[in-house]
Order: sequence, then structure tokens, then C-alpha cells
Amino acid sequence: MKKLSILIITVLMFTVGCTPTRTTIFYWGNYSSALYKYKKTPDESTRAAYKSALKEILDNAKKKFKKIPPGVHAEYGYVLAQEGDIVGGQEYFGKELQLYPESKEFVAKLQQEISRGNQQ
Amino acid sequence: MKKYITIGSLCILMMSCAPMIKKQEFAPKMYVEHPVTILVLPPINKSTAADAKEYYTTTVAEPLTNSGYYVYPLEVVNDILKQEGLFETESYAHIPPQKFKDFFNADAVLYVTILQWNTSYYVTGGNVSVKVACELKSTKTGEVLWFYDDVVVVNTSGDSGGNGGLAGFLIQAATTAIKTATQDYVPLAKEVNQKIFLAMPYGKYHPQFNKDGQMEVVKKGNVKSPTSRPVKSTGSKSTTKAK
Repeated sequence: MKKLSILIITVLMFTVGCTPTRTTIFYWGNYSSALYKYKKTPDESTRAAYKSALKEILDNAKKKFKKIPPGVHAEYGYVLAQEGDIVGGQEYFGKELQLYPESKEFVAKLQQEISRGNQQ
Repeated sequence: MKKYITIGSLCILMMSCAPMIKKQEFAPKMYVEHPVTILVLPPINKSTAADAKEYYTTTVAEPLTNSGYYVYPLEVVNDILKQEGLFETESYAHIPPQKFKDFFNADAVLYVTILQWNTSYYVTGGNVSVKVACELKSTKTGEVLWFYDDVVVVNTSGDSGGNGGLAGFLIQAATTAIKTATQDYVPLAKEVNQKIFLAMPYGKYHPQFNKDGQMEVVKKGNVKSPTSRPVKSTGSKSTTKAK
């Protein structure tokens, strides 16, 4: 029995040794699970939870000593725009561009989409 | 009995550790092109579960950004692609990656194929598995920059009540069925992604950017993704709309 436990521990150590540890750069809060719940049961409350998960990342990333991930400003702005808050949407698209200049063409596309949706 | 355990353990060890290759050798083009922005296309679903595509996408952005890349928000991208008339994710395979350069100025496109998202039962046990293949292509050259695939399997066999006799067997079979049916795929998808994206050369935002060439990863053979072999033309209208 003792031998067996030693063997198991050795195997575990090897397995751990083979999995490189991961440093996370960005703070994602509970984005993934909130989005999953929204997709699984799309209703008002799951959508609100998804929206507030995005806002929570924007508000708390700094406090967690991590960066705001790429795309989160844009995604939050898109949610606002879908709800009819075009000004709010544009504001967050602007923040995406400010934080990640490589998003220039993408943000331009979003702004174009919004104004198109607004005209309809 | 002990002998079997030893052999089993050795097998596990060998599976988890070999064969290894340096990232630089595995994906040399990544260290030349250094893509910054990645457009993740909606996955191509080859599994039997219709909802796999939708659920899987919720698990991609987090590990991929943490590998150091600018990842366009998948939810927003999906909507925009739909507005451009691209509904059928299978049709993305027909579009040359270069097209997506014009689209968002993306440096690279990630094609994801869900190969398994299913449960399998055998007499006294069950498995739940998620298998995913990824292929990153340059929007400059259209070439494959990096590919990888991995699988996570969870054994959902009931391990209680198995002390012989028909009753014990029935209890175990029932437990397995329940465990298998209620097993959530999303944590498995997350685990698969962690494994896959760890094997990717790090991007601009990672502290190890351009310093991980000597890091060893498990070597993979060519991924059998729909983009790497000719796909029969379905005459889809949507493909021509992409600009």
C-alpha cells in the first residue's frame, strides 16, 4: 500500500512537471461563465448578468493588478449600442481604440455598423 | 494487480511527456511574422452536438488573450459576420485568409474545429470528451503559422456500489448514466483550450514574448482541419459576399 501511494505521488509530480504554469496578464472576472449562462438560457436576467460581468472587468481589472483584456471595451460598447445607447457605445469604442490602437479598423467597422443600425 | 498499476502509470507518464519539440522549431513562422491581432472565426462543428459551437466560443477569448494576443471579441465578430451574410461557419473554410486582412486588418485568422463534444457509454462506464483542433493562418501569406489539437476525456463511471452482484451492477450503471448525462462540457472545453493555447508561441502582450522559442511543447501531427484539405463546394452564396 505504501509503495502504491509513493507511485501515485510520483506520477502526480510528473504530471505537474509536464504542465507549464500560466501567468495571466488580463483580468476576465466571471465573463466566460456569465456568457455561457446567457447563451444557455437567453433571458433578461442572464443578459444583465453578462453585461455586468463586462462592466465588472472594466471596473476591477486595475484593483486586481491586471490589465483590461482586448475587446472588452468594444464588447461592452456593443451591448450598450444594441440597447439603443449609441452615445455610450461610441464612448466605449473610443476607449478600446485608446487602449489598443491595433483595433483601429475594427472599431471603425463597429462605428459604421452602429450608425447603419441607427438609421434603420 | 500492482504490476498493472505500474504499467498503467508508465503509460500515463509517457503520454503526458513525449514527444517534445521546441516552439521555435514547431512554429518558426510565428517568430518571423509576429502576429498581433487574431480573428477567431466561429468554430466548425464536426461533433454530434449541435450546441457545441455556441458554448465552446465562450471559452476561447480568455486563454488566447492571456497568451498575449489582441483577440477581436468573438460575440461582436459573430454578429458582424452574420450581417455580412456569413451564416454558415463551414463556408469560412472557403474564404482565403487574406480576405480577413481587408476586413478588420487582422494579422492572423484562427480556424477552430470541434472534433468531439460527446458522451460514450460502455457496459459499466461512460466517458465525456471534448476534442478541438486549431489552425492559425497568416492574412499576409495565407500560410499556416501554427496548429494544434488536444482532447480532454472525463471518465464518468460510477465507482460506488460496485461490490458484486446484479444490484451492485445496476446501481453503478445508473450512477454512470447520471454522471455522464449531467457532466458539463464547458469546463472540459476550458481545459482543452488551456492546453492548446499554452503550446502557442506567446504574443506581444505576454512577458515571455519572443523569448519562448526554446520552450518545449508536445509535438503534434498535422491537424485535420477542413481548411487544410479541399472541401467539396456546396455552392454557398455567402462566401462571395466577404470583402
